[in-house]
Amino acid sequence: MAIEDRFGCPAIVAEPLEYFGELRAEAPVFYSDSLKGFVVSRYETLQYVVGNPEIFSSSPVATAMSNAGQAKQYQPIYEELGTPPPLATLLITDGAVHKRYRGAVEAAFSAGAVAAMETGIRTRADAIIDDFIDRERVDLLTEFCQKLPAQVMCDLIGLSRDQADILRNAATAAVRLISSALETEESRRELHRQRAEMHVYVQRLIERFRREPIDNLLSKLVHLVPDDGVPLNDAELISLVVGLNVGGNETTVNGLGGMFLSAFRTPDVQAKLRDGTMDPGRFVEEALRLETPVAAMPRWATRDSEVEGVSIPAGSLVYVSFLSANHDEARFACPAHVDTQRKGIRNHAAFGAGVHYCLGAVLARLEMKVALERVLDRLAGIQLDDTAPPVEHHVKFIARGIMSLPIRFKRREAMTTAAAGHTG
Amino acid sequence: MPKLTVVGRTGTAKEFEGSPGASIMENIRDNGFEDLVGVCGGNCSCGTCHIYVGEQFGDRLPPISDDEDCMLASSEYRTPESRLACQVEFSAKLDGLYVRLAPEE
Repeated sequence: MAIEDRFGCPAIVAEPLEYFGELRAEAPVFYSDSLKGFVVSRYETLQYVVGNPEIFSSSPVATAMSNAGQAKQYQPIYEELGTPPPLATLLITDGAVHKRYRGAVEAAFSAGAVAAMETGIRTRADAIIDDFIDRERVDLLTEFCQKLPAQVMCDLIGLSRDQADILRNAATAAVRLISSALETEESRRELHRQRAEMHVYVQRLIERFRREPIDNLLSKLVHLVPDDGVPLNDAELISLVVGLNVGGNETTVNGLGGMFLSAFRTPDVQAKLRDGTMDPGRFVEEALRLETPVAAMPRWATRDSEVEGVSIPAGSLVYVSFLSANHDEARFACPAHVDTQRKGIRNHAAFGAGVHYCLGAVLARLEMKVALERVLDRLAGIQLDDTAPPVEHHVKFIARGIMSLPIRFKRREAMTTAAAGHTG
Repeated sequence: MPKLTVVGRTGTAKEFEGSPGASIMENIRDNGFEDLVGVCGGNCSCGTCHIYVGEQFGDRLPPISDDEDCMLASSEYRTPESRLACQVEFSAKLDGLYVRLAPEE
């Protein structure tokens, strides 16, 4: 029986795991009219697609209708504000162009550079917790998960903390524009307006750092000469920062939210993390696999091909579903369960694969690990707040994240060590 | 062509002619060892291409960078012979190299 296209249904987009199970079994390469593209859902098939960029390029082909992020008809929105329109940089380029941008920012996100950020992230996490620790009830998503990555990103590019909302809105807009076929024309224009607002702020920062260099990522990029000898212009710098902000904001927020949900929705997970029988680093990997913040990314077919018996014509849009791949029973036994003893625990596709493997993977892992450590260390007896509405996921095909995470807890410092050990 | 020998996770050894200029990770993956995932594609970001290189080859390898050191530090299977295969380029001077895949994390 033919599988029905259900990607037009918001409830399925928000909770797609069961549907993806059907697709993996019956139609691992599935054409969705709602998405105007193919969806690849099995782990091995996804690895094939992302491993063959000459057939499935990250660079949009001219005929692809989904290219709303760069589409010319939205350029006046940017021109009205006197700022350059979006430019393809890290996410949707390949080859030499991708190398130019990746090379420019790689060092700032290397394992060594990120290790030096650990103390600062821990201090920020503790300061954020200080703001709600006496309340005993909090929406951990809005009061913690959204704040920590935004502050880290503000530090990287030189925005003050009270401008974090601009970063968050722009990140959300950029993500929704990637699967723009699911948006209305009106919402596409509004998303571009939100993105344009961030362009204006970043452009002002670029002008400032050009005059007065300081020690942050954006200032370094402004003065950097890439390997090809051509400095980055304003349009390139702005779009690079917007791209980095998607990773540093939207997806890290979703990563943190998904991690805490995974930790608290099953009581024994929190208990094992507290008594040391579950390794926090391995738990972070499982949380990434289970909730997969970057749920899917687009590729564009450069030529006619056939995958899993399905013909994919040149010019087609092909979505690789990292979320589905990470729940593929053929690769991960009992995929819905947290299993920190799983072999190959880092082999999940949460950060993508190959040349487009997430630039900020090391930083994301660090933020998640530090956040988990600080929250468990300072809050005791954490439970999902059953008096609040149930936790729900956003209706986004590209990004998987929760809308709220209401919890109840006790301040841990107020408890005796012995008592704290029993309240897990 | 210089050769290298790779011992997989099941203990099976395989000797093959390597491709100079490509990383050891690429050489291993291109010669049938699919259990070496190398998910980040050589970006020194995932730690899934962890190998052990015999001490006798140590002075022929490039030194471990700070980034590689940080990634290896997160592995529970790190030993003095540990390297990330994506960070070592294969070349004629490594002819006869003998490596073992580290256990999966």
